[in-house]
Amino acid sequence: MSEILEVSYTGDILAHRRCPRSWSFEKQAQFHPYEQVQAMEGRLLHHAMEWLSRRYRETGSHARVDELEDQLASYFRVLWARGIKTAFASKKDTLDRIVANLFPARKMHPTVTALIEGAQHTEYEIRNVRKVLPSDFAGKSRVLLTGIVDLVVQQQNALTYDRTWAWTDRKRLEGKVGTKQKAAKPGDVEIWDYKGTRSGSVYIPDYVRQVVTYAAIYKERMGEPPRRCVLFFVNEPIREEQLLAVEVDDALLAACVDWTQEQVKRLQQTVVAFESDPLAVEGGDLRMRANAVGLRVPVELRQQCTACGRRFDCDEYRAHLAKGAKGSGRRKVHPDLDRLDVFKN
Amino acid sequence: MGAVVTENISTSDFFELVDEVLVSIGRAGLEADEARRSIVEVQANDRVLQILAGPGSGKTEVIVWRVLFELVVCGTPSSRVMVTTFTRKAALEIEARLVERSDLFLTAARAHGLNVADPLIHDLRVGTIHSLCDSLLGEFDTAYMEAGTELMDEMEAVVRVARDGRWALRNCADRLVSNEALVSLFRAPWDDGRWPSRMMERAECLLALLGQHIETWIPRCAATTTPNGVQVVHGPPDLTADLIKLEARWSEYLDDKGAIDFATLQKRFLERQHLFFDEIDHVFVDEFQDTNPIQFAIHTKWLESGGTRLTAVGDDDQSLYRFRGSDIGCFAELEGVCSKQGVSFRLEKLEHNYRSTKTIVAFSEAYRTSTVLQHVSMPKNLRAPNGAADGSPPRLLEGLWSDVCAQVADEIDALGAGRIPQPGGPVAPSVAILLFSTSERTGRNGNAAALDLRVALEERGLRVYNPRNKTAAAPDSPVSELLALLSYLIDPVTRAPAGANGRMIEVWASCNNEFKASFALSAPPTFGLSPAHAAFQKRFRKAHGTLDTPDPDIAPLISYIDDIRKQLVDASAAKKNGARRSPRLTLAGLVARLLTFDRYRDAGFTRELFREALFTRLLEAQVAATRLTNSSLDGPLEPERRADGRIEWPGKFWNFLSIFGALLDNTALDDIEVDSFATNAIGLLTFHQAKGLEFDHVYVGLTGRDAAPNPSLRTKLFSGEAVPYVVDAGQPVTRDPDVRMLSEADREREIYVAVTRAKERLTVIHDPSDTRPLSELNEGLENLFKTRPQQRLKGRPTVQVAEFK
Repeated sequence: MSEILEVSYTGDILAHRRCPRSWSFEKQAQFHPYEQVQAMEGRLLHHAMEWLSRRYRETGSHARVDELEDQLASYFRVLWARGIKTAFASKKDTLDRIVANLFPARKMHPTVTALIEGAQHTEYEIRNVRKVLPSDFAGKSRVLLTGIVDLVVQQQNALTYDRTWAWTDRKRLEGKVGTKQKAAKPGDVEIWDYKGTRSGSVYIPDYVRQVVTYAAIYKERMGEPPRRCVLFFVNEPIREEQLLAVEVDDALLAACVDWTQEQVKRLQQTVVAFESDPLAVEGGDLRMRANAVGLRVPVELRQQCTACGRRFDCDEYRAHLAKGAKGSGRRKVHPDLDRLDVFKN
Repeated sequence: MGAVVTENISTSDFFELVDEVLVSIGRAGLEADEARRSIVEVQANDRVLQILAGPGSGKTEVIVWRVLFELVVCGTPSSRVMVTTFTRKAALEIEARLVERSDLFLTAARAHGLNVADPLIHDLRVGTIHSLCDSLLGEFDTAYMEAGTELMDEMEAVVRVARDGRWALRNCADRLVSNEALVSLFRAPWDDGRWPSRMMERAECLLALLGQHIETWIPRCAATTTPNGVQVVHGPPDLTADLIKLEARWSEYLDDKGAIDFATLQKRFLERQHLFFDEIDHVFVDEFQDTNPIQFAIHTKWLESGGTRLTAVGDDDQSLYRFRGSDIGCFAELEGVCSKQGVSFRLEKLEHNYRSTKTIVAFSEAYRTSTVLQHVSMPKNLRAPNGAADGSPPRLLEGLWSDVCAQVADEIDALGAGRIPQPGGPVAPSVAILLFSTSERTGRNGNAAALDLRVALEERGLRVYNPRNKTAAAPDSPVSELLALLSYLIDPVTRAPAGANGRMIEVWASCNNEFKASFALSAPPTFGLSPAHAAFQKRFRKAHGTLDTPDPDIAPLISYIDDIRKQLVDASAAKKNGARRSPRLTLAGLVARLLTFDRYRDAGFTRELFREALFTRLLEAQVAATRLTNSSLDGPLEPERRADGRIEWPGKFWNFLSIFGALLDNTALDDIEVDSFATNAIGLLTFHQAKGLEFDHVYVGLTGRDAAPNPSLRTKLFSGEAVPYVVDAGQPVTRDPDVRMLSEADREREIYVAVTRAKERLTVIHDPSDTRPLSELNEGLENLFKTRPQQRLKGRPTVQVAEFK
């Protein structure tokens, strides 16, 4: 009924790229996921950064580690009461890991200090409306793209980045993590995005395009683009690999916006396919469509698949597991797909 | 956060840029439209601006520009501006429009060399009043936040009252529900006095009482301890005290569970609102005509804060929600409240209808001015703007309902609507059929009118979107079947020699008969249960074979449930005997597996698929009800085999069966309203659903409802007015002229809203021979057509057409 197609960058574009099948059943058909494996840890981390920044802004001094622990323990209870639970780890492990990442050896991480002191906006919500041809977008005439920039920073005590994104194909927006150092200058405006994954994530190219798209929208709003974008892999144990800087220019900003627009189109193609036959939408990573069936589930997606309510009749996941079950003595049906296995939910 | 440089711009620069933006997108600028310009400008002495906005008058556009004026000219930080909308969809529309206009405005400003700071529109507080109350309390009320208070929907509230009401609300609830004079006010006008007899009906009744008490009596009478009007008219003398007690117990229960319902949330917000006075500078209220008394109290309380401005937008002729507690009296009362508080008040009007053709505007005006609305409405002069197209005249199609349905379906088919468009192909016009009731339940009079329409449309291969069909739990729905399967898991119905002389009869553990239950496969629960779940189970199994021999279409499911039950029992026993692994399968996990059986996975993109999804959501409402307890239903299924061989299930699963069964049995369940299913479909919508929407082609039918006094009486009695009424055949009856006029006006507003949804073509449909409920033609509509000549419709002479020219 609405003329507006609301598209969330993480909830739709990235989720759709990870698995169009799972996205379709949950978002298009409104199936309720039966296991809340959503990131309790991610929410705690974002809350911690927001709280630390606010605390500094309001009092002019940094919070102590024990104060953060109290705050997180309280927020953990709130999330728990709201049905958001840790997938596997215990409460103590979860909280300890977040605190240790932000306060290693009980002292505030210098990067965190720099972020808090230079913070311009925390949780800066990005919204952008593009007019589209209704015939290409199932009758919708406008696309509302939404996303949240975790932090807009204006460097005070400039950081130096050990890892930078090296574009290998600027047109197709492909690249790799490089080791060329980059020193920020005081006054540089940066967009930061926190990621709960490790720095070796297979989704890094998607994250880079995401944050550069945010930069483009930021520019439309502010008139000037940020100097660079930074991905902060909070759970990366190797300190030097926690940050990835992405330099931007106008051509890249435009290319990322086009890329995002293309993703919305692909998302709509999935919608059309789903409307024609829900079972026709294949599972597995969208980027790996060229691979044979069974070779489209990267390690990080596996965690999602194992808790997916649609896994039992997913051809991709079945084929993927079958490849690991070839050895002698293995069960014929993998426990993840065994509808009679009561030891797994 | 400090470093943002704010540069406000002048009023004249602002309007120059606004005109530039509007012209660039093909709209008329504000230069020549003094009324709109005056509305957009936040004037120095503005405290309260009330905007009377007729249908299609472009109110969203002026709200958006007024918000932007507040941000970029007045320099108000966006987080201090709040925009309340009636629905989440309306919030989305305003948000999108704000983003579009703001971006265009900033671009235009930069092109003129004006350095306008980012108004940070993403920090605006836009949402329904409930979501905004929740977020403000979450942000500024520490106790609320730390308790993890979770806003629950109506379904969860009903489940909670049904589940916990007996102990949580205690005897005052019983007294109130058995008070016929009180309860009759809350009955549907077509109910003959049986409601509320069943478990879920009782829960619905208690929530309705709580809602009206909290939203009407508390803001209007609590401070003066004015008794509820029902008490004055019919007694008993402690009725008001019982309602107060009921509300206090409900509130205590919610606090204990860390949950809150919509009504209590508003009360809580009103109590704490003073904490947020320093946080908000300007409050915009859309659809102000559908404000209930507690919302009115919230909106006007902002005026106590010193400088907060209030902009209220609405149209008294489009007030539809008295049946849910809103009171049009609030709309008219605003000026008086301002005068009482010594707050400046300004009234502006938007009287041009840019949505509809000239003939549709003329028709809707003729309707409005020839009915009771003319006497109760605020003065206005609604008209089409110069240059509007004349369009086709509104028409009345009359004939046998089956012929009318066929004609409507043929016309819609010819328009190309109701089908998924080919990529790159033309986009079909939007079409909706608006009815007072879209129920598809088959009754004593045969098919429901909406079902006939659906069938006619689907016969032509057109897709139909009718979520409020009341049939989501029909026997052939996946919703009923999945409950039947869970019932079979926990309490399988079998045949055993438990009858007279050892006759074989049906037995199950929760049959509330100790002897019969002793033959069941499961050990009986320790408390009485609603028998509904077993009825669903039996109906499902008997519709597909017999209890002993299921048909092949469901045999795999029955066999699977038998196997899984055995696996669960064995796993629990092994765990008890020291095995390392525990069963982890939950109810929701089991449902996910059932949905992968062919019977459900092959549903296609149909209503069945969405009903499967609905079941997963209903299950979540059940789980949520125990979320804060130690016996959460999202824990594993752990049945145990007793020494006598029978299977024992924890009480929480029996409770689940009892509540879920009663929920489906007692409630006329609707489907979920989901945009993906609505897109490219013909909307079969109620008048209420159509509010705020517009369509190229609109058909309006089932206009003949009586002007029942129930909602108006509720408003008045819960406002402390002693309006005399009697109860006749379960329904309240009154001669009070004011109530009668209000009730009639409520009915005519529904028709008015329906006819003003049309942009290009408006058609009223009617079968003069139809005797089903609501099928008469509304008198106001009839009067508009009765002097027009009727002729046989070309191509379908069994249908007569009259045109309003």
